[in-house]
Amino acid sequence: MQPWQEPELEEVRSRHASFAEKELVAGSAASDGLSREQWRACAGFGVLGGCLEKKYGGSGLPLTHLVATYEGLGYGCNQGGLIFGLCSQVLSLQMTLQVTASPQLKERYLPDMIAGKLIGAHAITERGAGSDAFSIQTTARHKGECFRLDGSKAYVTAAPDADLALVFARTSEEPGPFCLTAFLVDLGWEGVSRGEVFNKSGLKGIEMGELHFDGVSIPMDHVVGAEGGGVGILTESTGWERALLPSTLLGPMQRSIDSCTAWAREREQFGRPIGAFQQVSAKIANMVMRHQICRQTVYDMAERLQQSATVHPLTQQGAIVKLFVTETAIQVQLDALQIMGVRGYLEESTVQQDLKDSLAGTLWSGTSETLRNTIARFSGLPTANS
Amino acid sequence: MTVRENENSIEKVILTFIKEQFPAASQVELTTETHLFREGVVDSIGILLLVRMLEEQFSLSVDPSQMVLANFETVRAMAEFVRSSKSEN
Repeated sequence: MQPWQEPELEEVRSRHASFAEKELVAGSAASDGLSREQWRACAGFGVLGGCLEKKYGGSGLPLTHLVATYEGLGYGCNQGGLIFGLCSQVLSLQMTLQVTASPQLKERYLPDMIAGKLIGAHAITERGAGSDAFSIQTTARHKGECFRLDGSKAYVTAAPDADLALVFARTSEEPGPFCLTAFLVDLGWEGVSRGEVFNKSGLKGIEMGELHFDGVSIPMDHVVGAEGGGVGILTESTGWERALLPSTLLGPMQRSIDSCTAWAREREQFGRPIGAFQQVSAKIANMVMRHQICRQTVYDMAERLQQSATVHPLTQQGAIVKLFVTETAIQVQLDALQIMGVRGYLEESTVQQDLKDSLAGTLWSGTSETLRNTIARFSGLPTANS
Repeated sequence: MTVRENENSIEKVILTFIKEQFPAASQVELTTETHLFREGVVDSIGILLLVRMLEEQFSLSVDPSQMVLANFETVRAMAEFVRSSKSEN
């Protein structure tokens, strides 16, 4: 039996899908805005703490439960952004902090994040620095007993709503990957302001925006990891996301398969259900095959991560999972649109929404191009600028 | 093998790996004291390749907090890091 076929995980998926259908869809227009009420309802249902340690308020469950949780939520909820935001917080902040932060920081912030009282953001990208993360211009300089943070971050998920952020800043002019340090920044501190809110095409249910830092004083105990050790923290946060954030794409893929199958049985053209035409049935067969392989890939990754104290030994595997699942999800949703026809292209259709959500997958947490570069380098190929 | 030879072999393994994996190493006179980042020998993904090599070759587990310049700036620094990690275990 494959891990994803275990009855216990089927129960987790089904329970979370029902919860999402009841609590996260009814009465909610698929808008960009985040509902704190829904966020807290999710936290109350345990979706932010499942795999975190019990001493921080988590449930200490295996990582396959996290995958099943987000697969179920993704199936039941039409706000892809909300599910993405929740899962991103768990992986890029909570799991990362659990592995890398000081006991004091973990005790102070993790319980409230798990309880849904604090919303966290991962702030690395700037308008001028995306894939080239080590070219960021935000700086943190020693000032007395603190660091002084100056600069701006852009395209940050949950920026307009977040209470705290894992912020990466340049702490030296040393060339190479050791110029960065990670800080946990309370966004209520003096000198923090919110900037532009970006109007996204998809991932509704959570906003994306800018964060500005103007002389923000950060206490030394809010450094995550070591000064100059941002590369290690970034490797963990992006590693967790690449490995398991694709879980959020599994549910929408299954939903599209179910919708298309029902439609292909019901819709008649030329005197027959369209599912009787091989060009349609072949598309659905491909969707089922692709979804099943994605599922297997993500659950397998969760099992491998369960055996590893940190993510970086699985850097190449995480890149493979993310690249494969995100690109496959786009193909599945394109096939779904083709089968649903013009009805799938209407604003009210979840098919066009799922397609837009899936398009973001090849951009977040490393573009497909960046991931192919990582995979190639870990396979022994030289860097382009050598 | 003497203790000294064993110590030097760690440097040798790391030097060989860098010469094989990073073509920019051929642009400088690579020694155990060459600053790998200021000289542009190792790039940002390269640090992860170095970590993987140290973990596999020397049966180490590198904690994210140990990924700092002091442990990776030169071949000598990496070798010292390997020696101190092994003596701790």
